[in-house]
Amino acid sequence: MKILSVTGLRASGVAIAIAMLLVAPALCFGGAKPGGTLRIAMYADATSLDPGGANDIPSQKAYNLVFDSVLAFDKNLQVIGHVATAWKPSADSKVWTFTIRPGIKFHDGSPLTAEDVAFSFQRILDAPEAASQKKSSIAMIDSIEAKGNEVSFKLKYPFAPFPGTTAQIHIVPKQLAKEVGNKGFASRPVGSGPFKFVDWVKDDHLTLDRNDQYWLKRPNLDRVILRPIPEGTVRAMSLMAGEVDVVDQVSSETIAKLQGVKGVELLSTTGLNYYWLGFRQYGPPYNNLKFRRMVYHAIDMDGAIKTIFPQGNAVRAYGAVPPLVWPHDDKFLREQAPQPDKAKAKSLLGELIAEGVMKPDTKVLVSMPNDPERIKLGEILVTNLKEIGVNGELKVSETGSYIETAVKGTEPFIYSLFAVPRYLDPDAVFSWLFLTGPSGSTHGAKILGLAGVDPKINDPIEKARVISDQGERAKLYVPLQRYIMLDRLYHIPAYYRTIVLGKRSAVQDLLPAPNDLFWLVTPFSNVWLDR
Amino acid sequence: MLRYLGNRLLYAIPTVTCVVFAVFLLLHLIPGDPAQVMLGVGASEQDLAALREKLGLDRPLVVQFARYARGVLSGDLGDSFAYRKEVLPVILERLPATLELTFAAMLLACGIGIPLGVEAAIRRRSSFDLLCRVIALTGVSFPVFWLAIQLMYLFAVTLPLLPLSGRGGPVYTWSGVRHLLLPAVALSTIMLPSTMRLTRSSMLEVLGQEYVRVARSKGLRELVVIYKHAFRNAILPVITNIGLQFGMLLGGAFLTEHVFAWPGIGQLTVNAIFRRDFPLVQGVILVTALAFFLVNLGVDVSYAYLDPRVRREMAERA
Repeated sequence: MKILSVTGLRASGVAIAIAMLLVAPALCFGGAKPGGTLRIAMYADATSLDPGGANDIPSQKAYNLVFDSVLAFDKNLQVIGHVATAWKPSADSKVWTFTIRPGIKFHDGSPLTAEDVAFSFQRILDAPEAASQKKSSIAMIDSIEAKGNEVSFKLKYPFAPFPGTTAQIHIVPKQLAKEVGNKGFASRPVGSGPFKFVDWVKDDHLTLDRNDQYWLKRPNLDRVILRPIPEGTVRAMSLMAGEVDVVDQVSSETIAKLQGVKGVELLSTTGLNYYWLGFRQYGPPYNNLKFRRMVYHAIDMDGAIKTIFPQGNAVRAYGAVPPLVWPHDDKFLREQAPQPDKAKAKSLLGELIAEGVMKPDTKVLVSMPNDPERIKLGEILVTNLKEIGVNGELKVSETGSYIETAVKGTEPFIYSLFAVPRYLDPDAVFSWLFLTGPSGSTHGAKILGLAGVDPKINDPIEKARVISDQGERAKLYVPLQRYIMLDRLYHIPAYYRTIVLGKRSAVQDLLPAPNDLFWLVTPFSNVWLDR
Repeated sequence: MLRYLGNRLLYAIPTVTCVVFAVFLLLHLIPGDPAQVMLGVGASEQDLAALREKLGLDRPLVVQFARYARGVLSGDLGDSFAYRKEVLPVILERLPATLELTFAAMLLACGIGIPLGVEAAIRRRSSFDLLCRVIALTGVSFPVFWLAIQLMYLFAVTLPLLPLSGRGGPVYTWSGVRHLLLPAVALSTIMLPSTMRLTRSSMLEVLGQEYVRVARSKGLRELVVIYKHAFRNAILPVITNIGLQFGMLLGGAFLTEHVFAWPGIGQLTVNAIFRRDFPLVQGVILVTALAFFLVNLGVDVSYAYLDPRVRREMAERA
C-alpha cells in the first residue's frame, strides 16, 4: 500500500518526524476512538445482500461486512483461519475437513455451527438462482458432511487449492434461511460479521450497525452507510465536500483532482485484475507465432500504460499471475519478453509476407470492449502497427455483445479482456485462461481459441491440483507460464490496475484491499474516525 | 367527458401493445447473452445452459413473447434477472423518486418559464426580452450532464449550501427538498427554454388579436387585458407542450439520476440495459409509456376545460 499524496520522502529524518506525527495522535488519545458513522460512496449499488446468490463486486463489498467466511485472507492475501480454526486434506486431497470455531453467534443470537457451514455451501450448489461464478468455483464438491464441530467436503477430484475457494463462501444461518426462503433472506440478511443489517433503500443507501458481539474484535465504528454514486466525478466531489468519508474506484481523471485537496488522502494497492491483449487462434495470421512476435515487438506497452494512466494507477504486467498471487516470476518474464523494436517488427512483417501468411494490405483487426482505457490501448496498438506498415483496424463494441462475440464466435482478431482469479491460487489463473478439455471449463481457453488439448498446458495444471506442497506446485506453474507467455506468446500481458481509494484524513486504519473489498474490521485492521 | 376518457383509454391499448412488442424485439435482437453477462466469462457451459433454461431464454422468441404478453395481461411483468425478484415491486420502489424529480423539474420549468415568456412578450425587443432569449438559447445549448456537474461544484463544493447527491427523503421533508433542488434545477433546463419561448411567441400572437385591442379600447386595466384576455388564450399551446415535454423530462431524468445518484428508475434502467436484464428493461419502458400516456391524457382533459371550443365540441359529440 502507498499513500499517493505523500511523495518524495527520501530523507530518513523527515520520514521519522512524519512517522512520529502520525503516531502522536494515537499516543495522546490512547489509540483508536470508538464511535461515529463511516459514509462510503461506492460506484454501484449491490444487487442483492444474499451471499449465496449475488456475485457482483458491489454486492460482495456490502455483504462481506455482514457475513463471515470459512477462511479469510491476511493483508498479503494469504489464506488464514477465520470461522474455521483448522483445515486439513486427506492424503489424496479429495476430502477436506474444517474445524469450526466454537462460540460464534449470528446477529439473531443463534450459534454458528458446522451445520450452518455445510448448508451455506449446499444451498449454492443446489439453488438454481445461486447459479453464479461462486457455484462454478465450488463445483468440484461432491458431498458435504457436518459432524460435531467439523465439516468435511468430499471432492469429485483432488483439488489442492480448495481452501482458497472457501474464503469466497459466506456462512448463513441454516434455520432462518430455510424459514424465510431465499428472497426473504435477501431482504433481511442475518450474518455473523462485524456489522448488522439495518435498512436498505435501493440505489440510495444501505445502513449497517456495529455487531457488539463480534467474535473477532469489537468494531470501532458505530455505523456504516454505503451509498452508490455511479459517476466518478461526483464521487470525488462528494469526498471533497465532506459528504462521504471514503470513495472507491477513484478514476485516473479524478486522482489528479483529489491530490493536494486538504483533508483528502488517496490510498492505493495493486489489484488482482490482469489485463491482456490476446490473439484468437481461430485463423491466420493471429494463429501464427511469428505474427504474434511481430505485434509484440511493434507495441510499446510501457509507453501505452504511461499514456493511458498518467497518474500511475496501473502496473505493467509480464505474466498472468497477479503480483499478490504466487509464483513470482516477473523478473525472468520481463527480461525475456520481446522488447519494442520497430526494425525487428518490420523484418518479421517482411518474412510473414514472403511466407504468404500475410499480404501487404492484410487488415489486422483489433477489437475492444467499450472501456475507455482499453479503447486507448487499441488506438495505440493500431498506431504502432501502422508505424511498421501493418493495416490495423480498431473495432469497439458494447461489453455485453463483445463478450458474446468472443465466447460464441470463431472470428480471429486481437482482443483484450481482464481476469480476476476466483480464488487466490495460480490454479484459478491458469485453469480459467488456458485449460482445455473436459476438466477445463472454461471460456478463457475458448475465447483464446486453443484447438485441442495441449499437454504442455493441461498436464502441469492438472498435476498441480493434486499436490499440496506450494513449492512443488510452483515448480509446475513457473515453466507453464514461461511456455505460454514467452514460447507461445498467446498473450501480450498489459497491466494490473491499481485499486485506488479516496478517504478523508479523519478515517484511520483503513487499508486498500487488493481484492477490491472494504477491510473495515479484520484481524489486521479496525477502522476508526479521528473526529 | 367520461365517454371521451373511455375512448382515450382504448387508444392506449394499441399504443402500449406496440411499445411492448417493439421493446421486446429490440432487446432480444441486440447482441449479448443475459446468462453470460450474469455469470461472467468464467462460467461453465452447464451453468450457462441451466440458467438460460431457468430464465426461459432457451425457448423460441415467439414462445418467449407469448409468455411475456400473457404475463403482462395478468399483471405479472416477470422476474428481474439481476435482482432475482419480481419486476413490478423493483420498479415501484423507485418510481416515486423519478416522478418526484420529474414533476419538480416540470414545476420549476413552468413556474419560471411561463412568467418570463409573458414578460418577454410584453416587453418585446427590450433588453429583458433579449436576456430571456439568451437564457433560452443557453439552456438549450448546455448538456444537462455538464450543467449538473457545474451546479454541484458551485452549490455543494465551493459554497456548501446544498447536498451534492442522493435523495434526502420524501419531498415534504426539509432534507428531501434540499436534496431535490439541484437535480430538479438541472433537469428543468430541458423544458424551461421551450416553455419560455413558446409562451413568448404564443403571447405575441394573441396580443396582436382584435379581441385584445377591443379589451384595451374598452379601457380595461393592462393587467386584466394581459392575464384575463391574452394569457388564457396563449397558454393553450404551452399546455400541449407540457405533455409532450414530459417524455423529454423522463428521458433527461435518466441521465440526471445517474449524475446525482438519484434512486429512481433511470439508474435502474441504465444498469438493467448493461446487465441485459430483459424483464426489468421491458417493465420500466412499459411503466414509463403508461406514465407518459396518463400525463398526456391529463393534459388533454385540462385542455378541454380551458378551451370552451373543445368543451362545446365534446358536448356536441356526446
